[in-house]
Amino acid sequence: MAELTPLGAFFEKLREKGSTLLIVMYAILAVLVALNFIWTPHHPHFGLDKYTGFWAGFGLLFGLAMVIVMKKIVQPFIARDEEFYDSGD
Amino acid sequence: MIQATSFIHPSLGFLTLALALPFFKGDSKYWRWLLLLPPLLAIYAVFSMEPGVYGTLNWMGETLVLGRVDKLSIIFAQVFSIVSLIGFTYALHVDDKFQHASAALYVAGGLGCVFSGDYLTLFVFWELMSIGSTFLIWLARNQASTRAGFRYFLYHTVGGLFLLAGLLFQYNATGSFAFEYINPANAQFYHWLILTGFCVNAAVVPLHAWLPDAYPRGTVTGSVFMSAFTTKTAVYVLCRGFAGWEVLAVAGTVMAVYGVLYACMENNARRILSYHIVSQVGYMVAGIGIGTAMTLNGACAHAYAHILYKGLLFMGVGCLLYSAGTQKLDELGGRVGRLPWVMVLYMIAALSISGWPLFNGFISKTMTITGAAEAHRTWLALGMEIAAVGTFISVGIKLPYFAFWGGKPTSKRKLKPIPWNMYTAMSIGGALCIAQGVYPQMLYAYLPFEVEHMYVPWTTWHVLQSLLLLGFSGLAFYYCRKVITPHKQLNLDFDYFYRLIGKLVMWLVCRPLAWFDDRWTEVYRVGGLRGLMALARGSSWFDRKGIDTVVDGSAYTVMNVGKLGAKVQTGRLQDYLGLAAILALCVFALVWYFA
Repeated sequence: MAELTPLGAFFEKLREKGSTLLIVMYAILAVLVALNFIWTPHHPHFGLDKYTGFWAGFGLLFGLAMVIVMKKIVQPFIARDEEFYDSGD
Repeated sequence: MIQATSFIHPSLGFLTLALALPFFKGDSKYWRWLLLLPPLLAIYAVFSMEPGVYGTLNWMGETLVLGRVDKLSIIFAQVFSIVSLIGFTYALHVDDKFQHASAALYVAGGLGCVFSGDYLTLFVFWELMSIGSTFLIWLARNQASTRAGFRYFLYHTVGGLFLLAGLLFQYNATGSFAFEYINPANAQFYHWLILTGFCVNAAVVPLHAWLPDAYPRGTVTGSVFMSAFTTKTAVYVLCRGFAGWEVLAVAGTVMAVYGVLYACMENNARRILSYHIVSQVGYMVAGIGIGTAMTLNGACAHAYAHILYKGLLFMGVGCLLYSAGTQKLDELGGRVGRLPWVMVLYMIAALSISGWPLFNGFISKTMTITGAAEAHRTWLALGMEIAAVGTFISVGIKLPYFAFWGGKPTSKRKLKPIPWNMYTAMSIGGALCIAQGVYPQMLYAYLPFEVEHMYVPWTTWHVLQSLLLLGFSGLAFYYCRKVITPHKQLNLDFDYFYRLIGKLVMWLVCRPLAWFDDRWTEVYRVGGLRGLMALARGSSWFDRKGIDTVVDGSAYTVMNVGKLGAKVQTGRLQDYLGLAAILALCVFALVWYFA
């Protein structure tokens, strides 16, 4: 197999540093929430978005709800074999 | 015919290319550079044209307009021309001339629709797009694509018939084929027929299922073109004719959410992107339906940005398919070391579609959402924010995570090297996505609707809000990464019901109609055959005595024409479509020339 390019080798190293990346992600998210204490919308459109952390909670909750509801509740009802439509051949 | 020198129809080069390509002989290295000429000509034509009405034709007493040029048509034609250059650059290595000819017909159709000033001209180009894109699916040349192509063509034919019925009823009622803005307060039933035809191409739920069925099965390069033209041409015609129709505001928001819900369950990378076309076009349709100057501009800006980043997404995943031979996430995995630049360029598009600051989705998507909120359409705006969360989870994280970062590939197949032209095309797309994100005026300068205060995306709050929303969506993915892991499965969609309709038609043909046919055959055999035999004997006598001596010469001519006719009747719908398209183009060229 051919050698990796320098960029490819760099990304391969990154793949092995999952826990470090996780700490970085938490740190960035914490900084963003801290900034949200300083900056809030001048003209909140939705009412609740005037409160600090609204958009953080919105992203987290709807993200979790979307994945869990679709994968755990909806998909079992609508999932079929990949060859479902061609099975009559 | 053409009333001013400042207008060259951008479709002209593509039509010429499509007609000329089959005659080129030899290796593609001799003729492939010609593929770039029509896009370059189109870009020049669009940037040099002035608003006005050009290219009017008189046909059977009707005035057809081939060149209605205004700000709305210019912005769509501009991005269509640019993406055609990117698409043909991406496809430069492809030796199959018919793929290029089909793409050229398709692009010509899209540009033709944008400049059509009447429904009849629009319909011709609309159908040309349908034919060109069907071939882009068929030319993948496998059983799945052949079937998907037939379903796609059938579905778009039905959509086209709605449009045709609508325009004919309009002509009957008003005596005009004019394609102008329709006030929802004055809507007639034929406007609803036209709207239905447009909604089929816009993939409005529940008329959308053709899209995730067909696009994943197109050729690697063909799907890049398809991601840009069909739905966005529909957005253009909706924007021109149906702004402010409430039904579109609701339908668009449903599309935005529906697409992301399905995408988060999918395993096939190009199907994930297809569902996200439904979702992203939803923002545009909703913006059109809300109908304020800001949301209409948001729809146009988002169409422009979307064409660029969605083309780049399809190019990135196309590289995976080209190189690894699969587009299924459960078979990919861990490719980043071998395809680092594909990952980087894919991520530019993924961050663009997600609306991250510095990328063009940030300056277009937020305009529509803010416009909806400022128009006090709070629930619609919230629906679009939910769709933004799902978009980042599926396209921004799930797809690259399972394709490039997580796990190991299940296939042992060696990766095929990616040609330089594919990287070049992706780099152009990526550069434009970033340039528009950093310098929004590059796009905003072409927005067609006048507003009192131009939307300003780069404010501290907009940036922070986007980072909070998307950052915590990423956290949601991290928490449920094991739940979202894709598996080999097919998820039923509305095409299940389309197929039921197909089965019902088959049943009607096989049972009641077959029974009637049997009875009719019996009646014919008993009663009709004897009469016919007698008639045949009389005709035979008359033929020998009278006709033979007169028309033997004609008979030979007819026989020869018949032989030629029999040759072209191959029984393959693909051939008939190709022939029909060529004949239509010839007639069109003659009409154009003599008019």
